[in-house]
Amino acid sequence: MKLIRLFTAGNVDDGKSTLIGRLLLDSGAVSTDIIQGLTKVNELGMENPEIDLAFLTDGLRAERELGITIDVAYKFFSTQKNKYIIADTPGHFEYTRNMFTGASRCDVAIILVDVTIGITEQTKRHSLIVSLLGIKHVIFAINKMDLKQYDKFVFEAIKTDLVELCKPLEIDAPTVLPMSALKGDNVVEKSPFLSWFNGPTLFDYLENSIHHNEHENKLLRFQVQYLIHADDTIGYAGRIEHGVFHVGQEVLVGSTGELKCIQNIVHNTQSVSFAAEGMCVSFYFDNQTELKRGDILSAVAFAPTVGNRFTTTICWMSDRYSDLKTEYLLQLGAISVGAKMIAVQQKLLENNNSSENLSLNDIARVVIETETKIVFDRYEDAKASGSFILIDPSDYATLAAGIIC
Amino acid sequence: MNYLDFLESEAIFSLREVAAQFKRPVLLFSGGKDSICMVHLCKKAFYPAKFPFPLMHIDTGHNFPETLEFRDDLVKELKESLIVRLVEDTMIQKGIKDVEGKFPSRNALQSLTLLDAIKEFKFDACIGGARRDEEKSRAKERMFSLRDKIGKWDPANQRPEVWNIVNAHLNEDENMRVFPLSNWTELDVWAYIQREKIALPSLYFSHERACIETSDGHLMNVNEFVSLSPADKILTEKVRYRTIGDMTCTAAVRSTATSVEEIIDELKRTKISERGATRIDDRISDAGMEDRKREGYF
Repeated sequence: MKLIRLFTAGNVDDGKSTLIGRLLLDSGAVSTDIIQGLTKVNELGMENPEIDLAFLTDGLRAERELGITIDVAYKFFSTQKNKYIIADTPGHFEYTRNMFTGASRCDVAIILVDVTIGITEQTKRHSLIVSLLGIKHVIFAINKMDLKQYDKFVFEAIKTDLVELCKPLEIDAPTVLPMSALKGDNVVEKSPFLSWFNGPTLFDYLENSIHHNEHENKLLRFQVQYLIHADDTIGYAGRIEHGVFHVGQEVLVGSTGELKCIQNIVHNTQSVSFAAEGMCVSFYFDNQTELKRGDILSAVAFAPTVGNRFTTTICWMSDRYSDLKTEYLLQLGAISVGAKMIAVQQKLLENNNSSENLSLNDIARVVIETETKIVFDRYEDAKASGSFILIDPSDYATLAAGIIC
Repeated sequence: MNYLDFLESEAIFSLREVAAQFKRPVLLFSGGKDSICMVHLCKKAFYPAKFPFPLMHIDTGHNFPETLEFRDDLVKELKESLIVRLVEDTMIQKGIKDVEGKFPSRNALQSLTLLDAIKEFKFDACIGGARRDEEKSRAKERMFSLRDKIGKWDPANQRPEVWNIVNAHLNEDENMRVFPLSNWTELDVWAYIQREKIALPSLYFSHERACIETSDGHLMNVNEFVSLSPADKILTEKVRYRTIGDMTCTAAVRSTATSVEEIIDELKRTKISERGATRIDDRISDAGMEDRKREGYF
């Protein structure tokens, strides 16, 4: 059984929460008492006595009262083939940072488009974020087809616009599906109203067309997360981010340039001869080895960059403005270092703010300089060592998330 | 990578992150299947060393005897240290009257004992076995969930949790709650128990028990804390527990499942959610859990 992590994005009221509710309900993932709970809430406050599918994921009181999604909700369901983790992310512009949070851990994006409205600013914004995050599988769900009498030509027109939108964003071959989440058309079940559509239902697509290309990457990456001291040995614990490491292999320690030979690999409680991407392991070296948390190990070929300056695309996540004076804390995996933003090169998306400072939900290309040299990668080469957050040193709020270009 | 391997790896990653980034973490242990899985994961995360944090049980005084026995045996076998703090002590210190009613649940009082213990030991991170599939406000919580200096969760203002970067910095008196099993479902936990052959308290398996049936169909164990009325009919039923909470608020389910395999089979067929089937204290309001978490509950 494989794991598929997906999220829904799109404008407010495009029906994201309803779509997830529909997926859960029609695939049989919702328990009877929970369905009863949804009707109970409605009897108290809502005019519509039908089950409100969005209430399945809108878990906070304020969300149910306002009828909107504020923060990411995680839902789960399984089929014979796959286990799904679904992140229902907010559509409001104000909550873009929460959308980014949900999206950063996913491999499939479903961007909803209201067929009665077509492409909006949020469609563009979310498509840009999906493209920045390098999410491989992008599905556009053209929702509310029932309100346009399931019209093929309206669908085709939006599809054409979407393909155009995707070209400069390097989203290849997006999947575009017509549906009505509210009525249940083409989500899990095929619909007689969409008989002109030859493609799959959303559910069929998820079940059969998502393939993880593990090990497609030639890189070898491991970051030391924690040191396990026992008796006279030190295990360098961490997760393998890319590639396959094996006993006897020479690895390069990014920060010092030293070469070290892996003498033992422990996975769980056993020694193994090799370990691959995604596994949490500990490496053992000879007694002269002294590594620290944050050290990045790689092969000699395709080694990461060592430096104190890089260009990055960042999403500003705080209501405070950025400036070029503050020394922020930059955290890249387990590495923590002081850093300044030394130039804002270009704003890719902005929020009524044309100054040099970034404000909430701005996405911009900036240059960052760190206090000391660090080891990093380009995000497109290695996600874990190519992404970071900026922290406010005065109260430790997370201010921004960045992708190294 | 198989999905269980992924979930295991994700949980171990979080546990190691706690050990690396916090000074005084603690593993909250209730004796239920989720916290037993947590212990199993800690063994893997820190092998061959001992756990870099103690276990702590907030004991309401209403635990099933089987749970406490299992807890003590497990700790002895692990040779790890266990802190026990009693809700009763908190009640005495703070002059709080004991809860009343037919099923007097001290569940909400646990938060006070927990917050006191956090202060006493200066814990900066509390690791728990809560899962997002349990309840809809849990579904919104981060894996590393910040609590303010009075223990409050502010759901509208959570720290963004991007990729696997954990911003573990705390201001004075703030505290982190860490939920490594966030992405596990009830069935995932059972599949893991099956795969890893993890031992569990006998309460999880079918046994005969004297129960009364509440008006909404919950089977409650007959014990010294539950006040019986003449109208109560005592039934002897074949039951098991889907969750292990207090004897005063946890219901049994009718079941003949005596093995992990049979339990998994049973769960695949059931139409009732885990908390719906077993917790009589969650139904009080639609936002019951959210409110308790705002007060410092785990």
